[in-house]
Amino acid sequence: MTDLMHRLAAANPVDAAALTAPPFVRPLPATRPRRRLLVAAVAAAAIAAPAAAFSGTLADLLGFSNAGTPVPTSSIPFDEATKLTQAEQELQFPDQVSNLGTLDGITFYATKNAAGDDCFALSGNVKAIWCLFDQQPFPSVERPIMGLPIGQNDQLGQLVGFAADGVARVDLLDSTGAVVASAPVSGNIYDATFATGPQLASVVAYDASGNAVYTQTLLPGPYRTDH
Amino acid sequence: MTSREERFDAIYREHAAAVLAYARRRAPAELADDVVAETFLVCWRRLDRVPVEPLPWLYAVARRTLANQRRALRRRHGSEQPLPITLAAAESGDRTLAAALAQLRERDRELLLLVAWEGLSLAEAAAVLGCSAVACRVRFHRARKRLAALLEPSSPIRLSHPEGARR
Repeated sequence: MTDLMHRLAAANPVDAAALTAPPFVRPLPATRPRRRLLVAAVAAAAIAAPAAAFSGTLADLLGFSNAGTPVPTSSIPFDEATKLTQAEQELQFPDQVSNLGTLDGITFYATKNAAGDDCFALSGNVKAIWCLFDQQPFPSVERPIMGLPIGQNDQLGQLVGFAADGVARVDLLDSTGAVVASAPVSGNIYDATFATGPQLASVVAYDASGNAVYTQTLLPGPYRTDH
Repeated sequence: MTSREERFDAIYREHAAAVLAYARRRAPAELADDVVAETFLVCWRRLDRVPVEPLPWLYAVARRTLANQRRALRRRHGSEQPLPITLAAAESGDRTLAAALAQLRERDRELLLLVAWEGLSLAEAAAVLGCSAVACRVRFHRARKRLAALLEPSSPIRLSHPEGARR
């Protein structure tokens, strides 16, 4: 390499090897709220999994008792200037969605889009929107929960998601197996706040007897929870 | 997990950090994160078309995504965004190099940086830029000469972004 190329290389501002790899969560990557969350959430939608029938057939699998309350999609409080609203259009959200409830300032929505994909949205302290494009159903024995740790700000993350009937609690574990966050499930939705920092490793769902019924391994990835 | 998911996960595990680094070398962190997310969204959607060695393909997608993001920002704010790479070079203390880089055409600059920063071969860089290996080699040598000329003490280089626009 010439001196010039050496000089260029020396001006490289980012060493890829030095980048920490916060968890990449399937189906949704952890990321920051608002605009960037939207993008990541949309990406996650594609990366993601499921394709359960939401509105009508959730109960056919493990069960999903919370039918929610129909509300206009336009009532989801997304800032029109953000990519969330754009994603909502791209994902072909229908005019109505089911409001499944609010926990700790986060409102949970579910619906089925024009293509028949099951779609979800979160608004409030964290915001996200995504649809499920593959054939792995939710809820099912193979996928009794669907959620994600999301970075809320520099210090806080949010373990948030949807859970099938029978799931009583969802824990977020770090790489040592320690519980980082524990979220009780209420009305098929769950939420818990956690302090960012530990290397997140897995999400575990428990039934009412405390038996682990499902473990989701979190993949390492560049999505940061430290925003 | 399906074989499709397994392949995607493997690509993500192996290359996400490199794509993130690529984006952060060229864009502010908040924009870079968007670029990574959208790059892997495209990767998922077009997984069947992703080559066996996916990194140049991922860089190419990230490059287009970055260009789209910049265009959107320009439309939204009506102004040119600073060139992050020049800022990055300025951050490293080499402001003369930063200024010289800013004088190059985008494709020439990108070619040099793909080699110097991403460590790609010219053939791989050609794949990113969508040109033939031969054309890429010629362009590389010309770009290197232009940059060297701009770095000559007699060259009237001006900083394209005084004060680096970074505080």
